[in-house]
Amino acid sequence: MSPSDPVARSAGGDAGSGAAGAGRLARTAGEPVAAEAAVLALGGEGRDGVQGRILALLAERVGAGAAALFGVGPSDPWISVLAHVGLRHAPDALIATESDRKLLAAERASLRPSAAPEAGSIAALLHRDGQRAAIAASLERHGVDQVLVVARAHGAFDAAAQAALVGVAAVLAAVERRQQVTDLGARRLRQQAAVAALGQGALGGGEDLAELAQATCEAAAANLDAGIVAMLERGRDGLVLVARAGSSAGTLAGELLLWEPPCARVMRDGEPLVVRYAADDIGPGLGTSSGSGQSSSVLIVPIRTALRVAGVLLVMCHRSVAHSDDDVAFVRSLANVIALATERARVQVQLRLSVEELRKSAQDRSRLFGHIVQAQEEERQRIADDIHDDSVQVMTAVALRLATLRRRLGGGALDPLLVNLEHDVRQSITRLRRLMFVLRPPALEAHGIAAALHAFLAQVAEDAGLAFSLDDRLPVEPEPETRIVVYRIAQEAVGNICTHAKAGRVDISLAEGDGGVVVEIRDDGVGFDTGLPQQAPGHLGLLVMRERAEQSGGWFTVESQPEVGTTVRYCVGSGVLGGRGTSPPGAGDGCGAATAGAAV
Amino acid sequence: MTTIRVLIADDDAAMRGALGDLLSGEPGYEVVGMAADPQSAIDLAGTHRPDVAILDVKMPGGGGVRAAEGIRAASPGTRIVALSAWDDGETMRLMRRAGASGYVVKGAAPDDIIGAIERLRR
Repeated sequence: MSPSDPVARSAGGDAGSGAAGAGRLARTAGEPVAAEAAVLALGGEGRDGVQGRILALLAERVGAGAAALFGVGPSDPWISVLAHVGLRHAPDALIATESDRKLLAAERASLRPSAAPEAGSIAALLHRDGQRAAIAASLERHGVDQVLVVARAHGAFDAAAQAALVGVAAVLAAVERRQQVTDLGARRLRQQAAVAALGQGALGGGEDLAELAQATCEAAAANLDAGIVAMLERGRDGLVLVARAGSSAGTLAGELLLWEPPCARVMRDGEPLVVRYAADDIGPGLGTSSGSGQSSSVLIVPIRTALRVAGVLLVMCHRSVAHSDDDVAFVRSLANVIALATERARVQVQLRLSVEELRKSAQDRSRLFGHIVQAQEEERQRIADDIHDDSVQVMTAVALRLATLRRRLGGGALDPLLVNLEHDVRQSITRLRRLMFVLRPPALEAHGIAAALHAFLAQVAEDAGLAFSLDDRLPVEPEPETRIVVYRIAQEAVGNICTHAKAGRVDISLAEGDGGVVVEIRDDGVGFDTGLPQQAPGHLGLLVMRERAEQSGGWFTVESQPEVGTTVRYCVGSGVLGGRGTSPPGAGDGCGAATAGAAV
Repeated sequence: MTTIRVLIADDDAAMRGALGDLLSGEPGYEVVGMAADPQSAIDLAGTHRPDVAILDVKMPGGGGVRAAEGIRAASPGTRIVALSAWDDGETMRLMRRAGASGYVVKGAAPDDIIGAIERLRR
């Protein structure tokens, strides 16, 4: 590039290396203008304002009627006027209007940087060809981001003016670089904020996947200067569009035809694909984009869940954008957010299925328990019937025959023996009858749980010398299956009291609660240390009671202290068949008790 | 003293035999028949017209209730004593409604059984 080139290279920043002779002198002459421009640049003002002020300074110093800075804007694929002084019309209008010939100083077709002798060449060129995008691409191919142009109506610029132009171009390039650094930092912050916001939505679980996918595409479009962003997922017959931003469905369809093979490759490999100048190369074996899509650069990032690559994020720009590592990391973060949300949704579905299975399993268990209870009761009934119909009958007949024999003998030496024999036989009959009563309490079906328990307590109290009370606060009679479980557990508990507790009294209460029947059985016996449940008298019976209560969907607790007594509380679920478990009051795990020692 | 003619009905052979032994050896009693089911009891009652029928309440084929109702029809003069292992009010009520005048629990002493029959004589 010539030292007098009126071009600002924002990429290289070197605006005058290798000059000699008159050019060097001229550059020296131009240094004060560049220095002044640098002072303006360092003034702390923003890029847009500084550019205008520098252009005004330059125009004044070199005697130009107009000065303009052309370039490719960050979100514009066309060449346009970034800043100017002295132009009569709006920049875009100027470029598009043939009659406006105020500008000169640029190469013609190729826009290769150099001074040009006549005014209006750029305006004429741009209008004539109508190819602003092509010119922008041409600039880019030369590594030129911006072109600084000065123009005067009459007379050529001298060497000093050209040198000033070169110096100012270098300053403008520095201003642009500074702005790029600032923009880059701000862009990173925006990207991070976007990822954080989406991640919060994904973790919160309040947003559904479709909404999150759409928000992700929009975030990518807004933070990457992308023309089109699409999210594609693996479908039965190929990739399926899930969400899009920045494009109509029709436009996107054409792009997808072109970009589906690279997306499929990313799905397969699981690694991002970055394509610049997509028209030239979109990857080995993938063809080119010529004649089809409009995108010049494309970024494809896989959405990887724990199990597989579920889809891709496709970012397309209409001009060749060098996606930085930060940009790729940003899109990867977005893909990770989507993957996280997808994974979360999958886990939630699995969790729901597991919960459903557990619920079904609990229902099956309850149903099975109901059947077991029913089968047990039927078996007890059968045994009770057998005892009644067979053993009791025969023993009763034996007793009657003995009594008849004794009656016939009318006393004598054998009489005491016969009396004892008859007594033993009647004792056996009494025991058999009691067994029948235990196996099938007749009052349970006929008169309900309270009556059956009362009859049972009355009999036990008589045998064991216990005082007892029964407080029945049930508003309605429980279902037969519930009634049986309530009765059987009470039977076991009172049996334990008679066998182990050395109690003087037992108090039982029946109440409705926790969706079932809540029973409390309190004795004033010797108690035991609940910290040593294995040493609790009748601990196997306790296990059986707990099992019965919990299988019915209820709970079971024992509170006890040595020399204080024991209190058994339990709840039998109202729906023994298909009932769901409840927790005792004050117990976190369904089997604890809050007072008087730990539960067993 | 008039002989009391007794019919015994119980599906349990041991019980039937024990009752038969008790009453047949007792002065003033005659066991005129023993049945193992209600229908046999009704038939025997129709044939022998016993003074007293001792009926087990839990016989298969309708139980003591059916036997009592049938005997009341076949032999209206026969007094009925219900015999049961279950000393419960419901059974007693059903048997009374079917025509039983007395009630004896299985396992009762011979004196109690004879006493229940004797009460019917009065």
